[in-house]
Amino acid sequence: MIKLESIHIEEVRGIRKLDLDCRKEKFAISGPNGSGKSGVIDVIEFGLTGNIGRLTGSGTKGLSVSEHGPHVDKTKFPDAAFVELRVFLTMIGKSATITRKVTSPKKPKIEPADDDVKAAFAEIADHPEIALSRRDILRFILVEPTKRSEEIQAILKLDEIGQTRNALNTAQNKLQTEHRTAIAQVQSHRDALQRHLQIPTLKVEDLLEAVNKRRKVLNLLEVPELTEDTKLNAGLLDTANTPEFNKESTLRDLKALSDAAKEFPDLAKTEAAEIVADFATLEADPELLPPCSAACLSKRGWISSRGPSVLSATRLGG
Amino acid sequence: MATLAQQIAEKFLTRLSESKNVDAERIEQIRGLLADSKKLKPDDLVKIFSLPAGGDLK
Repeated sequence: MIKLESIHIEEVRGIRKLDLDCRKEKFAISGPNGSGKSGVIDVIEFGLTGNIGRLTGSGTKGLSVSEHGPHVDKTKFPDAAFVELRVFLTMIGKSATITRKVTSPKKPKIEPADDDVKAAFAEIADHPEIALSRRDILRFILVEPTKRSEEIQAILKLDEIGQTRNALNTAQNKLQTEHRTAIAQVQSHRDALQRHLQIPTLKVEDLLEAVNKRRKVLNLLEVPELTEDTKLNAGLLDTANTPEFNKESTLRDLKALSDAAKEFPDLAKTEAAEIVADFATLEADPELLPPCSAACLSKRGWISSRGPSVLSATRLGG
Repeated sequence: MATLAQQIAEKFLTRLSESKNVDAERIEQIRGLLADSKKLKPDDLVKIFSLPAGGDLK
């Protein structure tokens, strides 16, 4: 906590030159519109923090302390704009003076330049919420309830926290979407793997058995265990492990196949000869044809009578 | 004493560390992001919380 002892202002905001004797007491400022009441608050805030809250926040884009801090008649001579505050620092029980120029707001002159005094002023500078403007109060009163928390953030100069919260919410939504997509992909890949390996479940032992069975056919080393680094197709594309072509074995297989093929013409030789002989008999004796046709017709009629189509039988009979 | 924003961020990180779902390494990464003066980007947080491929294989 601090108590203001005196304020000296030159060429800041709407104030040309002003000295106020506060005497460590509470004080109020009154005056007609445009007389510079808010300017005094701006100056106190600037002296303590190096910033002016009314020049930041929504609706103030383009405003800055360096350009809009000096009095309008001194915009070309901003070095003339400064504030000097004499304060009593209750936490360390010392009085000190801080002088801050608009041209170098981050480099105040502090007297006495003791470490504890500097630390006390640094702590105050970290709390810009010490200044509450009329605009902030009015906006808080008028804002709709759903946006009141945003206004509290603005009053406490916590806009950064609001941005952080928005970033966290956006990240959460993105991660949830990615999580859902990943779950669907995992399930799809599990199903595909199960189908491919023809195994009912993805138990490690079942999976390894199915994989190793196939790897053995391909003359690849067995996979002993399943870890997150395991590659089931390890060595498949490795040319060094490609099984060599066994010419002798292949020739042996081809000879056996060729020998078996030679026997194919003799397999149905007897049956074929019998059929040929039957055709010859039919051609030699035309009287055999009508009995054969009658027998064929009877056979078809009998088959049709067992099925749904009577018409077919009738047509055949005609 | 830190700024109000820093105090809120520190409390957030403390609560995060009490959760069993977030490990210490990630919390430190988030602390680094929050301490950075640059504006926090959602994609940076997504990177922290995204596991590497196959990282959850049991």
